Amino acid sequence: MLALVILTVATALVFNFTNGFHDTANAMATTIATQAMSPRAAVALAAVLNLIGAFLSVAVAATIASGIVDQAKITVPVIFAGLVGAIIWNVITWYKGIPSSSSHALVGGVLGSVLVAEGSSGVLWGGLGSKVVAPALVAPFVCGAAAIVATRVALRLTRSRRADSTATGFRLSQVLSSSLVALAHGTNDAQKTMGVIVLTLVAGDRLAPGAGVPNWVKVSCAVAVALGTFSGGWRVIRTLGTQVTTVEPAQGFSAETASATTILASTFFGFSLSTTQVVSGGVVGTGVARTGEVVHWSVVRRMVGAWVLTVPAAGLVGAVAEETVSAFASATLGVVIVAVVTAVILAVLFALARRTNVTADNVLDGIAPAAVIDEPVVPILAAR
Amino acid sequence: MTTLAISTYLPAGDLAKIIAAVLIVAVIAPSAVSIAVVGLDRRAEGSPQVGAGLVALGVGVLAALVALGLYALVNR
Repeated sequence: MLALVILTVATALVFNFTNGFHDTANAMATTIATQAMSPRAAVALAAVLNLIGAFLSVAVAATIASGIVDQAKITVPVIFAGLVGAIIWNVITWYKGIPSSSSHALVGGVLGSVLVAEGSSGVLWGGLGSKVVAPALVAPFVCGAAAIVATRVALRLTRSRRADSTATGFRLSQVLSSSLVALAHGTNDAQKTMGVIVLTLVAGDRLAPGAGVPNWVKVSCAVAVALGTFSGGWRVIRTLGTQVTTVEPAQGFSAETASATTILASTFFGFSLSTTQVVSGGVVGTGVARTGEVVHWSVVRRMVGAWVLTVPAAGLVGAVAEETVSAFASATLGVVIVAVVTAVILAVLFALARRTNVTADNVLDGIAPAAVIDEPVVPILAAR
Repeated sequence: MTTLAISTYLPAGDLAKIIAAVLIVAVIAPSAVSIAVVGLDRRAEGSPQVGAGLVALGVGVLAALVALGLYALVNR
């Protein structure tokens, strides 16, 4: 059982790492696109804030898929299989450069593995509606509407101002709002993985039910999400920062402010939203708000399609993983084999990604020239 | 019908408060930055004291919003 627990904890940390690099774009895509900070400085700042955010809240780490599956029926192999589903979907969407929700991928993965292990009686379908479907239907529109309002206010109030003052003011302010998004991401998403690991330890009889989060779990989750963020999900950053719409400093500020406010207000009232969907709604909203601006709806449609597919697709992978693990007489052997197969799939995806490598150096290639304005406004952080 | 279905899962009262908070910040935050931008302009036009005052006002409002955000994050 110990080997099983260790493998599952390691897999949870890998998920947290993918969560970090997949979601770097949420906080920093528009900051990079408007050149408020250099790409490397932006992801470094996001990584530090994710690290701090992981320790910030005193709230108990949210347990895995709480309210969506029957927690009493969760076993260590079920958690492992769910994580495999989430990781593979995260890496596939990263490879395709699509901003999709890591949290929903985790929910989907666990849902699929629980369905195979326990049948539909293990799933709380009402929870799926309240924690996944309803927020996903509302959050992007709330943030998008706020981004439209913020963008119009910003553009109206500064239309007779000097262009350099306006750009400087909004770029500096955008660093602030992006930082809040990064901090909130660290708090929410690192704690989700802490919850996964705690549940694994409890299910594996390594921790008493109701015990707090051990310090080593807090530190390892914080470091994993920070390292993931620092590695920079450049493919997703390129999509969100440059391919949805052209983001000028006032727009970048508006999108990130609307996102930060939506996430923080929802957090305060007890709703857990997908940071990715909120920020994507903000970016689309800010594009819609600007007269004459072009929103590339084909990219938006691709994103929304991925959002719809996330839970079922991660669930399918989670189900296959659980079915495979349970086919072996020894759960540990099954988990090892699935872990090896997963590693091979990830290696293939990363190898494919290298053919069209997106890095800090070329992430802004193809951006509309109007959005590329002189030097970053935070020079002290801009050194590469 | 969709609204009815959503309100089954998200309490309408809380949702209204979130939307109100988000829209209020969506007006205040860019206004604060715009005040700071006016301040930057004034400084460039040779009124350093007025400019610095406007920049300080804008930054102060933004700082207050950030403090509110941190409060929401820590006290959820």
